[in-house]
Amino acid sequence: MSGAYPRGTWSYDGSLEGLIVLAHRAFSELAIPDAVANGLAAEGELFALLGPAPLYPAPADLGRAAAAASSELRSFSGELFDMIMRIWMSEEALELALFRVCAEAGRYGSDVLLDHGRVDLRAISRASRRVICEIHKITGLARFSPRGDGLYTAPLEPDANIIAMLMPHFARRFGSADFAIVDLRRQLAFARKGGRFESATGEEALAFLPDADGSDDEAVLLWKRYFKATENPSRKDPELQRRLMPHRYWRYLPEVAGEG
Amino acid sequence: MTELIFNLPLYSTRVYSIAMELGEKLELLTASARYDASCASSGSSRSSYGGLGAASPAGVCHSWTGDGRCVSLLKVLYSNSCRKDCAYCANRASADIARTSFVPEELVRLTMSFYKRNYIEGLFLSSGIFADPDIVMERLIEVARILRERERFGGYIHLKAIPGCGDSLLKKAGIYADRLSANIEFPTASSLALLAPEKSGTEILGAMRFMRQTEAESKEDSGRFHDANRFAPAGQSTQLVIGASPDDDRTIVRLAGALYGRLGLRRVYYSAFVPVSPDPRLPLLSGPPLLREHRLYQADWLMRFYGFRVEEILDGEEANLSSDIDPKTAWALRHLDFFPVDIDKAEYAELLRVPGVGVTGASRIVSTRRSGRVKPEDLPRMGIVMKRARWFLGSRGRPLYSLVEAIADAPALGPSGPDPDWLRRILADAPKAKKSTSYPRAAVPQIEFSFA
Repeated sequence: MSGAYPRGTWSYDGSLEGLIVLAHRAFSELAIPDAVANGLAAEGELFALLGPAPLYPAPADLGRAAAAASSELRSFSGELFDMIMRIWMSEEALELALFRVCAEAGRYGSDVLLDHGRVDLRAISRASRRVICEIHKITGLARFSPRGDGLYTAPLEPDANIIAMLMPHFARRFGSADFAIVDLRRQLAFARKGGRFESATGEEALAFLPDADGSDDEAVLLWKRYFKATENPSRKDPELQRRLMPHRYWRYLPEVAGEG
Repeated sequence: MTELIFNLPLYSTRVYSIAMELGEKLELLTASARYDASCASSGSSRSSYGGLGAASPAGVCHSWTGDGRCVSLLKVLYSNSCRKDCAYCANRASADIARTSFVPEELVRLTMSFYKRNYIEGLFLSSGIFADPDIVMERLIEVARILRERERFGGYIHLKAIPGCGDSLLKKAGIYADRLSANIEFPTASSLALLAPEKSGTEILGAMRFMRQTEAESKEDSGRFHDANRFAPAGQSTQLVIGASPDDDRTIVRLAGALYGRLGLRRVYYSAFVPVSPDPRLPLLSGPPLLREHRLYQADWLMRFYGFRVEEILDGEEANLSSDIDPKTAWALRHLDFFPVDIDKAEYAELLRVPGVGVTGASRIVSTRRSGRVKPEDLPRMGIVMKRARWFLGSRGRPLYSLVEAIADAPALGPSGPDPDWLRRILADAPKAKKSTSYPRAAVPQIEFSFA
């Protein structure tokens, strides 16, 4: 890319807003950094002692800058914008590849996004697809159980930071009923109670979890019996089962709990 | 309980019980329904009626059983009591199995509680013919009605259309259900007469035709009146039992093609026959013909997504799909003059004909061409399976295989390209021991269904 000029190290705080602002910078200024520092990824190391890394360049109001950047990127290409979102959700260190694609798209137009021969584009569309797959898998494999107060809660440990993306689906599905989704690994929760959306982090997020494990509920026992009976013994193919439903999901599925 | 009267076991030696514990009933009526291959929860878009649930067009899988099949719906029979004695069926009247039946409230409770826990997308309800078809259909409708009207359930409902029931009942069923299905079972009237003499092809096709017509009318109405209740918005499907009858694949594929083309079916399912009870009319199979079922699904995909016409699928001498190669490769080998297909110029439809190129690969080639040239070395990264595609694709006027040194000296490469027999051997699927390959041969003359 002859027109783009490197800009040292870009750093951001690991937030979606930060990533969008930087992606927009690459896109509009045709600039790409030499390296990217994600303050969040560095947590737990020495960096953490220094506090969150400053966003480069630090806009006065990150929220407003991100909103403006989003609307410009989105009107340029919805596909590119979705890809930025998914790269953030993937938590993979693909910022550099993403910024290169953004700069190329800014320079040559959105047709760049169709060129599957490009190495950077391949890397980010692969990660983007993994996120889509994870959302789709978890949509089916999330298991909700009721608490005493009527709230249906699903504890999850998704590979990517996707539970916010599950909310529209489950909001449609639950109609007027209250529900919550808790990401145990990221200690993050989203809920809808009494028609209002809520989110929580840390201890507050874990407070959405049910107190008992509920593994002997009548519905769970019936479901296990159903699952066993619906299998066709003459067609047994556990290999195929595992390919379609990898082991890492099994711990939340009462129908296969303790198996495999 | 009117059911008690209708459900009196006429043939069964076991006691019929409606007072069975719910879990036990669920087990029995699930095991009785597991030979129905249909599992889709897709094709419908329905929002909740202020209650619980919504159907999404893409469908969702909620689990996978030990046979590798997706669990999307609570798939059960209303009753496994049946007046009919079809040779291939696990629930045939003469089978010595325990008989039972749900009552509507039990099914409503199960559906709602499984749905809330995100175990299922909805309900698939079929039934043995325990009484007059009208009565069986009414029972199924009653369950759907309670779900929709009382529980305001917006999830997916698939109801079996009971052939022989009145048109008004079918119409009612379609108001509550997303999808309806009547199983045609066999591709010929002669096979149906042999193995399911109490079923009538005319009745089954009649029900399908009626549903087709009602669906079309309702579609028209919903265009005019926004709120018109759409009749079975996910359309209708059907199922064929594979390997229990002497019908060949060409007959099966032709019937499927006619069902898609003339009766507008959304899906035809193929269910490998599982020998459950011995009957002199049935072939002796070592296991269900899974490979044959697999090939038929591949052929079905060619018709639905790859733009193949029915006649093209088995346009050679063979009346059955090959066990060693898939139907698309088989077509390509019979039509080598169609190839190589040029990655620089070929239309999407032509690319779709290439073995190793799928819907995604073909659209990627076309979209990449908009911003530059497709380089042969990029093809694997675009999702093209080169092991197959290299024999059928070309670039800049040269077939791709000629660009690969290791292959250029392949023994069977003549001036006019590779020898078809040699190509067939290297493109053959590795045999899988567990998939039974038995193909019964036609023994009786086949009388095909006629479509008006």
